[in-house]
Amino acid sequence: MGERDHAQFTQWVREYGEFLYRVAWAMTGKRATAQDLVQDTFVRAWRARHQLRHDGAVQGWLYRILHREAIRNWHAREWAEDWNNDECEHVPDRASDDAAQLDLIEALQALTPHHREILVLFYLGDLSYLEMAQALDLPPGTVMSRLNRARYALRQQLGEEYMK
Amino acid sequence: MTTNDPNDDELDAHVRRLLRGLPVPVEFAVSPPRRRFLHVGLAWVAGVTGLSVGGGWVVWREFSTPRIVRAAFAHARQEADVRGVHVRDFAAAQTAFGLNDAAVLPGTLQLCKDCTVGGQRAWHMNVYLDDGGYVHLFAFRRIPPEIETDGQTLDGYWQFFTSRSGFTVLALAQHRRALVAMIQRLSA
Repeated sequence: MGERDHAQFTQWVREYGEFLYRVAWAMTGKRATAQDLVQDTFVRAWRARHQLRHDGAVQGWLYRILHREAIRNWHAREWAEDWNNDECEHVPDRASDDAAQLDLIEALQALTPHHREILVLFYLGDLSYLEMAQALDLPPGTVMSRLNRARYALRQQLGEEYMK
Repeated sequence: MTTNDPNDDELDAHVRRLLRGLPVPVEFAVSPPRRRFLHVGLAWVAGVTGLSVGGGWVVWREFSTPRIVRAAFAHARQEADVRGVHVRDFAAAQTAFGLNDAAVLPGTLQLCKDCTVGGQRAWHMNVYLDDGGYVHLFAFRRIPPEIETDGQTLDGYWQFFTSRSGFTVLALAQHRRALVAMIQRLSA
């Protein structure tokens, strides 16, 4: 591998690694699974990098690979089954000491996968509605309506304090 | 991106701050796949023969993974349900893996057996880790002719390392973290 290629790969990891890791953690509720997913995503992305049409779309493209990888990867088999069943019962990793973050992760796990996905992408990705629509393969109007429903569902999970 | 509802804005800011503050590993141990560029030509051959992208990937993987690693994965599958110690000299096997004391293992020993993998004599050890599942280890009695550092196939992750006693060991696992934990414990 040439130095230039290695530099590009390293740049991807630096630029998008944290985003993908947090997305994977919030989606699966498991940090170890998230780390495996991110690693697999980068490997897959690197092998398919010629399919990337322009550099500006890297984040959404990586997200789509992460999503596919989560479904395909047997590391996340339970999560994929949850995804297909539209329900989730994962318990977050209790290694973190930030209670608010854990509560949030737990609340996200209680949502339907589609609601969880759109919220995670909305809060963690710096994406426009159009870019989110492309990443999720949905019409932009559906993104907005689903986001509103997901936000309401999250409020319910977080409790009365957020039900304003 | 913001919304017009001030209550939503408040919630959004709160959730965004929490999610973006989730702790991440100091640095991801991700490396570009090795040897890719040695096999670009083979990938093209697969392409012009009309194979699908998925088929091309499988073919590429077959070419790029050392033969002995493929043989080891096949062997591990074949003996996945075998349990117990089936070696004449368990102490010698332990020494080969760099284990002077079984307690050093980061998991539960499932199998230790004399085997032949890809034509090479090896001790085969299968260890179960609570966090990461099974790791198959092969300590070769002679250094195999075809060694690369590490890689990933559809079967899982693999890596060669040198044990504390100087034997060449091949580790296979479905989860990278299991592989890393095992190698950290056994490598020189």
